[in-house]
Amino acid sequence: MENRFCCFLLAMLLLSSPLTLLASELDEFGVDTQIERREISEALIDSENFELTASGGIISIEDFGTNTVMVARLAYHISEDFFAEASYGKSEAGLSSAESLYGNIRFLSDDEREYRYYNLSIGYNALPGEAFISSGHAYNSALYLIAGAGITDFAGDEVFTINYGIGYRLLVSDWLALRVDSRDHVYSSELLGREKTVHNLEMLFGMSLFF
Amino acid sequence: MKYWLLFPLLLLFFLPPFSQAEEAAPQVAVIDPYLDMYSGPGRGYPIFRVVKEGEWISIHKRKNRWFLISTESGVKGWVAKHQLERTLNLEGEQTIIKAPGWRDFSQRNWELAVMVGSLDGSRTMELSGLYFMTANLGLEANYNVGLGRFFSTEMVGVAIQHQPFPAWRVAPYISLGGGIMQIKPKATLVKAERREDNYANVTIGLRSYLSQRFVLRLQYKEYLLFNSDENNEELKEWKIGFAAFF
Repeated sequence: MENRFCCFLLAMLLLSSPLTLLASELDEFGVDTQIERREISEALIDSENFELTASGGIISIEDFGTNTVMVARLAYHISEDFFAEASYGKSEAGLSSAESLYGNIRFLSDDEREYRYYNLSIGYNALPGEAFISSGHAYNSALYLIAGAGITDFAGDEVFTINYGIGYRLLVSDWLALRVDSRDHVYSSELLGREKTVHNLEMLFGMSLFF
Repeated sequence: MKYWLLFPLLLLFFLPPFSQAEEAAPQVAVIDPYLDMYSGPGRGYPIFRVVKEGEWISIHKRKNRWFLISTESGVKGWVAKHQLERTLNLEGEQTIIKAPGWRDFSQRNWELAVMVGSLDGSRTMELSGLYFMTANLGLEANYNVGLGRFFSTEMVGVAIQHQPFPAWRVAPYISLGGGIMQIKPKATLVKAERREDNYANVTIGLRSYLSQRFVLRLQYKEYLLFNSDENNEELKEWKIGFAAFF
């Protein structure tokens, strides 16, 4: 008798529990509720807000010719509109016109000819969109404006440098992108006598990974 | 130049593991009349499909407030966070997607800040890390680079920071610290020499919560530089910057 009473009580409890109610609600949707249970965890959703970029291109170092440059960048996408990006670039300056005209003079030693910059910039995806390649493929893309500040280490000196530019990112897949960047690096230099504002223009092609 | 060869290897390291992500994709059922699927992770992308009420979707990845999902028939698209929250998981509970916010700010342990400003007329940049031992007291380590017309400076320091009102949205703080400053004359100056001095500093600042994980910081610092020739020097500095907390 006691056993039956227990069974009855348990059955009632089970029927009145919110779980069973929900199961019937879900049945209304025509959903199979007999699926094996699995925890949904946010950790299972891969968040891809970081972007690592490797670029190569050319930089025109004012008075010292145009040279190849390699750049590494790490960006954090704050929202769909903004991203913050740290960059490191490395190049080597050529000869100035005076040095190449009068073959035997050198303003800079080999070490001082190494050109390096570090900066932190904020980018704004001004024109997000889709690019259509042939009739069957559409790729997400964005034209972005970017500006920031940093340090240029060149000719034995470190100088405060502003950079600004425009770039284009084409997402080949969800995690792989192609990038084209053009930047202007502006600083004040007294290297060749009197003080002047230097503009070093840069053109880059790169590839980036989202992770 | 040869270090650049390492870069592609580094990239390989970050390649996402494809197979794993596919297996574990969480599933949820739509409870709103419909759910919009966008062709890209942004508000401007076109809605190319809707998922009907009651249909199950799998969540694959996230970019800010956008989620890449696939329908039962295997169509992939992006869904906004506020719409994804109108779903039920397998447990029958409504899906909650955590986003860092004001509550996390008041419970933060770490803060990483980048600031720029002016130190007695020269440009200065700072990178600092702060660890909160209690809600009010924090321990800070900082690295500064100052770029002036005649000198460039480099500073490494530590400080103890006190914020009397941690629960305010715009909260003041004060800190006391010290460190080592290295002063390098510019290459164009001939007769100057490089020197290294100790310093002590006092800071007052304001911290304002922005959104997500970000904070705006504004601060004023006074340095007392203990010169080697017994002639102490005072320097004034202001800075503005952003911090991210964890």
